[in-house]
Amino acid sequence: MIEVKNLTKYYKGSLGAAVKNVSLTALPGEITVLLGPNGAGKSTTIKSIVNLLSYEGEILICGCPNNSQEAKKQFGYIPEVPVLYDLLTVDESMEFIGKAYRLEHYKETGEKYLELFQMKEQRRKLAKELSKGMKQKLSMILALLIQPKALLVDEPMVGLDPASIEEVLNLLVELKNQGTSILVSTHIIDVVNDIWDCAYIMNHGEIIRRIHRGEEGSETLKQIFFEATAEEA
Amino acid sequence: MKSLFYLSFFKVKGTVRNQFRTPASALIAIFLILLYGGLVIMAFVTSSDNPAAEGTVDTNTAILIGIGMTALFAFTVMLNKRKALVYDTDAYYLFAGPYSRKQINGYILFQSLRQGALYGLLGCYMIAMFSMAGYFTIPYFLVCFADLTLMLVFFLLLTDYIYMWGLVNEKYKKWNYLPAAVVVICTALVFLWAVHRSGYDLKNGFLLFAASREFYLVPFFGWTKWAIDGFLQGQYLFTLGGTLLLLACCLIVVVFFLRFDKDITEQAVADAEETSAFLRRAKANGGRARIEDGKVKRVKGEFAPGAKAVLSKNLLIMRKTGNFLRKQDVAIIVFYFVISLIVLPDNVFYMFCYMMIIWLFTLIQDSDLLRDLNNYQIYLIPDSPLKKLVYAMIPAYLKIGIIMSVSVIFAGIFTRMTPLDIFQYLIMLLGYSLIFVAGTVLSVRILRSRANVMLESLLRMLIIVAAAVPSLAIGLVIVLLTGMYRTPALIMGVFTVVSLVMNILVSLVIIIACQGMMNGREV
Repeated sequence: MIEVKNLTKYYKGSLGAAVKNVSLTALPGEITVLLGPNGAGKSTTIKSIVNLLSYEGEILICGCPNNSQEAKKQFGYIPEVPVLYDLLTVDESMEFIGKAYRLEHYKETGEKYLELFQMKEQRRKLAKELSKGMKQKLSMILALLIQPKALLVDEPMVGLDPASIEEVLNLLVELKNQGTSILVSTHIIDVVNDIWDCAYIMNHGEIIRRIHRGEEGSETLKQIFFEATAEEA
Repeated sequence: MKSLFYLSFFKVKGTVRNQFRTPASALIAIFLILLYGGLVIMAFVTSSDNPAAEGTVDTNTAILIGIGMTALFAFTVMLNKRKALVYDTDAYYLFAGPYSRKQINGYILFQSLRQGALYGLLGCYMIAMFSMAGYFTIPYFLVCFADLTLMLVFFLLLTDYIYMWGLVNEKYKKWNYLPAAVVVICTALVFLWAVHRSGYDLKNGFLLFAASREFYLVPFFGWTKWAIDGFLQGQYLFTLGGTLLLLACCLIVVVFFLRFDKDITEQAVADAEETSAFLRRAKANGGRARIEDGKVKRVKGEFAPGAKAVLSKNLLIMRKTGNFLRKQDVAIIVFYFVISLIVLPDNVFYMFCYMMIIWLFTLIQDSDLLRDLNNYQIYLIPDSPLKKLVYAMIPAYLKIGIIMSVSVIFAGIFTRMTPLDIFQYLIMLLGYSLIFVAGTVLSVRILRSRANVMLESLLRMLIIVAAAVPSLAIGLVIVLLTGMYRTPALIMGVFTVVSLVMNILVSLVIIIACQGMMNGREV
């Protein structure tokens, strides 16, 4: 479970807060989506949760403070832009994470995801030799290698082809069914339309609407989003 | 055409505005202007009226160093395999905009003039520094500036001109080597002649080479020296002759350059994109892009568990690139050794050791440590932050330590120092290397980004000075209390040990204080 309580983030030199008093919960076995227009504060929220930014507030992952080693062992993070070690091959990148996290079955897990993402042929390629989409897939594999109980995904479909997007969506559903808490940030609502369980709509650094599947009535998520952001404007 | 001038103007304005965008960067910019400007003003103020007056080094040598610096830059540009006429943003505007070939060429020409003038100023700065307490007046500076700029503009334009023909036909790319080869061969011949005349004594041969009239025969560089020497000797016809030769060469290349009208748009834009992307990567990675773009060996490595995997990874990457020592590091170290040889011929080793501290400033900005700090993965590894930091620092320190040791031992043997002297200085420098690496970590921790390399360098200097003060104080107390001042031979030993111990202590304090940054949120 991911719990965020009163998260506020100020960037140095900027007048207002990038994220203001945000509280949210991503439950196990659910896909929670963080929706919002560009600059709404989605990526800042995700980066704060994985402790890559300093912030005010409290963040717990699987009940542990997000900066603790216990928490780090349990969450995976897929950034918007894949950041890989260019001179490591796909296999070496997986081995690096496997050893650094002291994972026992990383080889088997890695094989499974290489198969799923059709990357077996690329396993001896250096990260710098991979295409943009392949890099994104490798970034996902590295996050999934630790078999996380909580998964944080920032704009997951950027750079992926339609077939890969489908694979990723199926994978997210599979992980959800295994009990993983999944928090996905995106501004492309269509992509998560079929898989979301809980949605938080952000604008100007604040959560302006929270909605659970079943509460939307006859409206689509897209309609709710546009209504909420229009009211805010 | 007017819009292109506006573009140039706004780019310069943007660069200046960027320097003053925050109080910290504005202060640094002002500090640096005052520091470097103050040194040049000091050279003017302390200048002797007599051009024959000798300052820290011989005037001839100062001129040769200035010319050598600009030559190094000209050759680096000329022989660099990665070339582009402009950056990608400029390329889109220039080649897609409503401009004629002549206007585009004019814009590139203007850029070369600006770049030539900037590096010409840098050459003058070197001459000023080495002429300190000697002769360095404003008219002398203007002559040096004009001739060095003309020389550079010629090489920059020629490089661009050959590059453009290289885009038309691959075979023309080889033309780049021709002017460089002519200059190198002529310089080598004059140098060998000077060494022969000095009875094969390298040191005297070099001094003879620096002062010989035969050097004027070397194209471009020799002509520049001819013009400057002419001014110093009051032989203004020589100055005019040298300057006119350079000007004529520039004009010829300008005419050819402006008349170039082949269609090279596609490849020129592609090269501009590639070079710009490379420079962005280099900027983001502290100069590492060149290494990562090079050949990669297919070697295998094992990864240790936990935080130690970071060390295994870095060692594996080091083995893969095989780029332990960059060519420019070898060039800089050799350059420092030659400078030490020229400036303090009787104390080459000591001077070289202190020059190696300057080398550290250039090297650390390019360390493997920064690659790790730029990747979020290290922050997420569930292990002790202190271990992660130490394992990330080890390869950087190993690399510096080995290069430093080889250089100092080689310099010591070459200058016939005693093993004890070599050992003492080596130990002292290894201590400083450690504090430099720790200083990099601290500056990243304080600045929370690597956006300002200049500020980072200054911070490191402050850290080193701060660490040096207690070593000096403790060393003095020990020397005074134990009466060692009566035996000067022991003093160096005491300071070596004290500075080593203090540097290690301060580094440890820094590392422990900075360990929190490996959790991510502090960077």
